Amino acid sequence: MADSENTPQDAPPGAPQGDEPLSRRRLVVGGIAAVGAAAVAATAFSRAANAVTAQEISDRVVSADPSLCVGCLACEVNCSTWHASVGRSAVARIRILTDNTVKLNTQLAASLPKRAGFTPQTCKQCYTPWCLPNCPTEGLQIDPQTGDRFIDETQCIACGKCEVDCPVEFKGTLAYKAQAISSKRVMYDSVKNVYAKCDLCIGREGGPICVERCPVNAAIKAGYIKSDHLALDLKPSTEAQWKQLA
Amino acid sequence: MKRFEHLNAGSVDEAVKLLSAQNARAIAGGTDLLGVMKDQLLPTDRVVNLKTIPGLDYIKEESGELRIGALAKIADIAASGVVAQKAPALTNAALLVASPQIRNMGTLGGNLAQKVRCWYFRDVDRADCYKRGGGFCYAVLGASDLHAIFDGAACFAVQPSDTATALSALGASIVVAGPGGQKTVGVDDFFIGPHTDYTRETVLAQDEIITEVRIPASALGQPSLFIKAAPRKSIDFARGSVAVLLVGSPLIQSARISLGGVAPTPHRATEAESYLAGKRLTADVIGQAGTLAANGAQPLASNDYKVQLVQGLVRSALTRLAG
Repeated sequence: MADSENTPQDAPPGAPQGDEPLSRRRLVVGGIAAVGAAAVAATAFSRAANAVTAQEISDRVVSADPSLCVGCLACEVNCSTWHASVGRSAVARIRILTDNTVKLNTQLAASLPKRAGFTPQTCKQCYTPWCLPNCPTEGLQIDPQTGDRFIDETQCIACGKCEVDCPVEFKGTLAYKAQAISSKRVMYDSVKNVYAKCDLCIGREGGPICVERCPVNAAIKAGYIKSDHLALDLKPSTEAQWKQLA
Repeated sequence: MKRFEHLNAGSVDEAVKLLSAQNARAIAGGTDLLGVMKDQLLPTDRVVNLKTIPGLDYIKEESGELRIGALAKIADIAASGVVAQKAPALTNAALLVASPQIRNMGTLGGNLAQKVRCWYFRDVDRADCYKRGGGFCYAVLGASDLHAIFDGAACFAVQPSDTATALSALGASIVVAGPGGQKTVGVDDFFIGPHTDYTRETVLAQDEIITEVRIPASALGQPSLFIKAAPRKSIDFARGSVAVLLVGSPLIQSARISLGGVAPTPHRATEAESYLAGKRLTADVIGQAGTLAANGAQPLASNDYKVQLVQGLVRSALTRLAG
């Protein structure tokens, strides 16, 4: 991993700005701050209340190719359903927004010409986990094995600091009922009084359910649609990937 | 057929209690449930007969509303003078439900609570369909002639009930009995789409039943109409249908337009409704209302025809009401 990929000064567009920018000092709360070496920051985060040690970059982020999305909302619905089934917030962590600049894959467009113009968006599993350092509990965690940034809802006190620090938004029009949306990608669930974000279905055998149940993915795997990649795929959350994701 | 126990309920409370057992299902006319059971589409260990509950098949005016018991037969609703006079859209819909034999057996409650007719759901070999407890919808990239052009989400099966479409336009509400007592739910809230829960079509929990349908005073006696399009006109489920209620003539004060067979729930054409308010039914207005009724449609591979169908049905219904 290159230093440039994890140096906090390389704040992504939209990252918190102002008097208290998200700096390494804020990220590395506690003793590690004194070390100050980029190499340390690259491999470990820690905070006084929650001594999490993890690799900085998540092994996985849900990466979507809008040109392969027909807006069927299987990802949204299954995300919500699965999380509710294991007792977590039913808020859909992945949302499908409309985007009339998207050009549909030619094979899909031949049979589904009216199903173009969608862009799936979810938590980008930021290579620098902006949402984590200000969490006053162990609500936001990093999985030590995979680097997944996830919310442990049993620890979440709904203070909203993760939402404030989240640098990415859902902004536009949802495919579902054309509702407007303007929200961070860490979202408040008023039903459970917790915050929710894409946790890559942590604990689910088979990985993220959105990737597993995307019907276009199934068609690609079966060879009906020619594509060298899936509509919804899992990729490492590098800076390059971060910039590429919607 | 798999074995199951059959129990007669003597009252609404008893029915609710009996339905709390695992895989228990309510039966009235049975015209939908028996097909589901024969094909073993859904696990059924107990069938609770509601026909033995006395006094739930009435059609009457009360407190200014038209009230219809859930066990009223579709044929009785179709033949009812008070329904024809007060809520003609429901008469139209009842007359167009399936065949005379099914109308003689089927009840209003059952018609509202029936399962979807998606050909993948009804195919015994497609156990991975969402509505069968699986995690796949064949219609998204498959044959989608029968499927939703509005509000599909993971599952694209459409709400098949003709009476639901009519009652949606009439602004009716549905009385539901369950373990916690009775509650009244507006028709548009009674039906839920797959975005909320893809395993069911209504808010009914397993141990809840419909007891009554109420059509409000504001709709009674107003011009209303239901028409539908189906390949086999005398018997088939709607490929598309529309129910319209107009208040005010010749200047329309308000309109309610509900579309059937094109969405997972009765689909209100709200843009067309808003457009009609304050207008007279001229040819131009009718044409534009039809266009607006299809706004927001997102057809799949083989149901693009439903966009034109919806537009044509709305224009036909409004033209007939303009008389």
